[in-house]
Order: sequence, then structure tokens, then C-alpha cells
Amino acid sequence: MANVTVKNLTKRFGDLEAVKDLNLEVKEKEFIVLLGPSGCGKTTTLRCIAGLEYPDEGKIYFDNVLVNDLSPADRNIAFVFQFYALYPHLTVYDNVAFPLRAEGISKSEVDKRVKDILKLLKIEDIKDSRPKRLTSGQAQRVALGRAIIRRPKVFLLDEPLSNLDAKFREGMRMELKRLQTHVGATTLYVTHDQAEAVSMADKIVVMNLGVVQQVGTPKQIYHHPRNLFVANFIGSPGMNFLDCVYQKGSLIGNRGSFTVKLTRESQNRLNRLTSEIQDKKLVLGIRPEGIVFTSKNDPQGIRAQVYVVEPLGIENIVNLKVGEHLLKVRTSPDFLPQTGEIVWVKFKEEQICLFDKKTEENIF
Amino acid sequence: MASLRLVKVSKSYGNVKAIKKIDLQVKDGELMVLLGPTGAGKTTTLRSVAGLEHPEEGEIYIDEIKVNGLSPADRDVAFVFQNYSLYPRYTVFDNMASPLRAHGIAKDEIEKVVRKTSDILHITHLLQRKPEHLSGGEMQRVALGRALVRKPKVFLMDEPLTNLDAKLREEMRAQIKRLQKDIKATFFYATPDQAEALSMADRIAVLRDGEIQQIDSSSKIYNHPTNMFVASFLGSPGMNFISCEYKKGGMLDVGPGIFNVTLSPSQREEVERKVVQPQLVFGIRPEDILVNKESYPDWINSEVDVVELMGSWNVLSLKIKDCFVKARVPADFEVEMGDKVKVKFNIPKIHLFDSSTEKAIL
Repeated sequence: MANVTVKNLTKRFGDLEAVKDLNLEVKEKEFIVLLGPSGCGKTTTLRCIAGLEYPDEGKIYFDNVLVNDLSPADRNIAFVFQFYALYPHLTVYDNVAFPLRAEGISKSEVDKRVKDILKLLKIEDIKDSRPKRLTSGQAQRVALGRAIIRRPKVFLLDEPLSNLDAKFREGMRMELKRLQTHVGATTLYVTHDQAEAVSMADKIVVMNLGVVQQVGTPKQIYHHPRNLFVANFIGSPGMNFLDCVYQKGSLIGNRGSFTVKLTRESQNRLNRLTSEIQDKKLVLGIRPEGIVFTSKNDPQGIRAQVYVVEPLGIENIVNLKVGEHLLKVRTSPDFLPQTGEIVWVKFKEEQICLFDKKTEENIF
Repeated sequence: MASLRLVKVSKSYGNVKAIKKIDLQVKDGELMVLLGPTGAGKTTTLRSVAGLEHPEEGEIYIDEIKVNGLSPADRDVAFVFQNYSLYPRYTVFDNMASPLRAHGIAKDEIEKVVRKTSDILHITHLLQRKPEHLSGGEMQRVALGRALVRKPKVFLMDEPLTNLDAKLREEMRAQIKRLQKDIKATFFYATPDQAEALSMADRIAVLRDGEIQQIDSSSKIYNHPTNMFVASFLGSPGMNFISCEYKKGGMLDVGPGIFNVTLSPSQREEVERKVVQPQLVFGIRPEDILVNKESYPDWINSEVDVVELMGSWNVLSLKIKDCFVKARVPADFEVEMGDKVKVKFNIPKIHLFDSSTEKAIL
């Protein structure tokens, strides 16, 4: 296994800058997820690391060795795509054994390694089946097996779960993570699915329009998003956003739709950050679990009207109107207010994020 | 608006029975979701109601009038598809006005209805735009608007949110639900997405291989599934299932040989009334497994296999001897792979299924 370093990577397709000046450090055995919407440059980055695209600028190192000029075959990587390309005429066993046979490894050694992999992936019972008899989940496991068996330095996975149905994707997520830990492989994984990223990654690289927005652990990205793009992209339901200004120690919504009196400590922090904070246009960000119901008499209470309630079995999402804003609040499944009802809520201060409306940066 | 009733409706394509004796009723003003995986027969059911398919068997009633012999145009239903199919060269206004113009309605009346409908859908500012300048969510709202202006008796919606990204889908979910309540329309809404179904439906009809499995409210379907398919299809992550053996005295030997659980007296009574053979399946939802780092005498030993962070909560894969279960825990419950933890089951929330019929016993 290896570490991977990417320095100042830029890749253009004609006039389009697909990846702009990207820097990335992947430690040995680390699981890194490149996350972003389609067209953000995540797959192009992965393909440059694989050697399938040639960067216009920048350097790529595996274990501190420059690999820019190495062909994909010489980089000792395994690439697993969204569409698992298996050999249709070969059995599962032979598909998995194929890369080893190509390297001229002895028959008994091949047999031993294939059996280990089949067991690890729980596909021993289908070893004699051909690809057309497999479910998509089984086929994806075979594709993984074929990638793992070569013991590559680096795994590159491009949306490997996108074609599986939702139920199955959840199960595979956990299996992939378990597998990566057991194999101990350095892994770069591309996805547009924030739940996949948050649940599997050691570190997430959030990208948009070819530019890295933030690199951090899932917890850092979830609780301390660097800007509005990251805050909006992570979480389900997503973070709520409310326009506001900061005046005399309070955050005040448009037309006075809400007031959040900040603690002295937070006020000091805000005042220290910038002298121009007063009257600056801000966006308050709060996650659905950061809003709690309270009573009318609570001085911090904010008046809201119930727009609609969405039961999800395990919890309810209560949609509320505060001024012109629609907020989503996570509640227990037995909390069922009526549409149109007036309720009072407050924001947990430790969960409030503040963004500069103009620069979209998190300032708090 | 109107009620909709299907009586023993069946439709085959060649040798394949797409839907089998579907019985269901959508009440006036109700939002009924038809939920099931791909190929379950959702679209065939909706198309049969619309008159786009002709069932070999069964009757379809709209407002208690049999519509089997009526053409699609005479059934007065509106169909909203996954692909919005707007007229690309028309403005939003003209797209929405087109069903009314086809009916020869007066110009100022059309203007009034389109304006009012666009206000409800918050698309008034888009009326002069063409579809190519709209986002996916806006296009879907225009498609809805085009259905709404006609004031049909029943709305048939076939996965209308499937093509939108996750974020927008969540927003639209709440908005469509509120809209349906405001206009008191009858909605028959098909989706493969269990979260969409739970969150929007007054009642859910779960469909599998062309057959209705259960029709109930969201909370009934989630808390009291009638069989293992419904139990596994609803919820994320889904319910855990482990084989078990029922012993005298209300004891469950789960695994068997992995751990024991003792049922409450009322559960025991119910099981003994129904059970004929001791081989059962133990079912428990991830949120009904309690996990603790401290040691309590009657808690079960387990080891953390995988930790999945989900932002506001974590999902743990736990290993109890040779058996794996998923548990949902708060985000601040910090554990790592390999940690030893104790688990306990929320006894009133235990489900039991017959291992051969897969039907719910408890």
C-alpha cells in the first residue's frame, strides 16, 4: 500500500477547466472520498491519478515517486467503475483469477488467493456462475474481488454503488468499509452521494466546479462546513438557511421574523472576528436537529407556523414557516403538530453556523 | 375531486402477470402512495386507472362510476410522469394553458386559472420562460401545474420526483404534500422510495410482484408490518432479521444459540395463540437495539464491526457471536471498530415472523 500526493493538478478539456490547482495528500491505508455534484471534477481527478488522463499542470506521486509519466499499468492501481466490466464467458472464479493468471502466478497460489477473496466477499457459493446469472450486487462484488486480488498499491473507485438499488447500496456501503479496513488499502472513492461519503470516509474532499471546497473528517465537514456550498451539500434533510443581520448582540431575521440573542462569549467572538460585523448581511445556518421546540414564554422562542409534517417511521420532519423561510426540524416520531398550528422554537446556539451572504464563507 | 376504487384488477403481458387482483380504494381528498420495487406493477396499476392499459379482469370506479369502457380522455384523470414532457417551444404560461385551450375555455378565464395555479406552485415569476431555462424542480412544478389547471377528478403520479437530485426531492416532497392538502385533491402516487412514501402518504399500499402486501397509514406500516417483505422494505437501514426458536415460557432462542430474549406476558399470550411450529424469525429495527459501553448484568456482549457516521446519528454494525445486527445510535456515542459494547433489545418493539410464510406473528 502507498501514500498518494497530488500537487497543483490542473486539467482542461478545451476551454473548460475541469480541475483547478488541486492539492491532495492521501496517507497509507486512508479512505478518501471525493464528493461533489456532477461536473465538479471528481472523476477527472481520479482518472488523472489512474493515468487515464494526462494533467495539463501539476504532479502526482505514489510513495513520493513521481508517476506522471507512468502508464496506468505501471502504477500498480486497481480501478473499479460504476459499470462493472466482467468477462461474460468466464465463471466468477475465473473472472477473479484472471489478473493473477495474466501475471503468470503458479496455479496453486492462484487457487489459494482466489478462494480467500471469494470467502472475504461472501461469493463462494456462486463461484461457478457466469456473470449473466448474477444480481447486480453479486456482479459488483466480483468486480471488487478482481480488483483486490492483485494487491494493488492504490484502489480507485468511481461511483461503484450508483447502479444498485437504495436498499442494497446501504448494505454494500458497510461491506466496502469493512473490506477496506481488512485489506488495509489506500482508497480514493468518488461519489455524488453525501450519505456514502459521510458514512465511509476517513476524510472527505468536497469539490465544486473543479475547485476543492473543503477537506476534512466527516464530523468536521458536517459540523463546521467552510462555506454555504459545503453546508448545503451535506446532510439529509439539509441545513436550514435564514437571512439575518447582527445587531446589538442578536441575530435578527428579515422584517424581524426572528431574534436570537447570543451569549456574551459568542458576541465577543463575533466582535473579534471582524469590526464590520454590525449590519453585514449574514446567513444563519442550522441543521434540522439544532432546532428544538419550546414554550411561548421562552424569551428565546421564535414564532413559527407548521407547514406540513413528514413522518419517516424512525423520526418526523416537521416543516415550519418562519417569516418567508421554510425550516425543517427533526423530531421524535410521536410528535405530530397540525398543519397551520402556531408553535415556538429555538436554535441551539452551539449548532448555529454564520455565513457572510456575499462571500458565502463560514465566519463563525 | 373524487374517490377511486379498484376491484380485483389483473393485467398480464404475455405470460407475465404484472398485477394480480388488485383491490384498493383511494378516498376523496386522500393521498395514497403505491410503494414497491422496480417491476412490482406500480406503473401498470396507474396506467390501468388512466385507461392506457386494459386489464383482463376487474373493475375500476371513479366516484363510483365504472370507467373500464371509457377512453382516457373521458375518465377525467391527470397523469404526471417522471419525465415532465413539457412542450419545449412553449412558455411556462402556454404549457399550463394548453389543456384549457384544448377545451375551448375563454381567454380571460384561462389567464385567471393559470395565474392562480402558478401562485399556488410559486412559479408565477417563471411564466414567460421556456422549459430549457428551468431547473428540474421548476419543470416538475410546471408539469404539476398543467395537471392542476384542469381540475381533474384524480391525479395519477408516476415517480414524479425520481429524476430530481436528493436535495430537491426532499424539498418537493413537503411542498407536494402541502399542496395536495390545500387543494383537497385525490392523489394516487407511485414511488420506489420508502422515505417519500412514509413522509407524504395518508395511506401506503405496498406492492410486490403485482400483489398488494399491506394497505395502512405510515405509522401502521412502519410499526406493524404484516410480513417480512414490508418490514424490510420500509425503514433505513432496514429491520434486522435472525432465525429463532420459540421455547415454552415466552423465551426466544435467537440464532439459535446466539442469545435469548424473554417476551412480555402479553406478547407471550399472543404468540402462543398463533404459533404452530417453533421455527420463527426474530425482527428488530436498528433504533430498537440499545447500545451501551458500561457493563450491565443482563445485557448481551457484542463487538463493534463497522461504524457508519450519518451526521445526526451513527449506524453500528455489531457482532454478537457469529451474528451481525445494525443498530442506530446518537452521533455523540463514540465507538471504534473492535470496541466491546453491550446491547439490549427494546422488548415491546420485537417483531416475530413465521419462517415459512414470512407473515407477522407479533
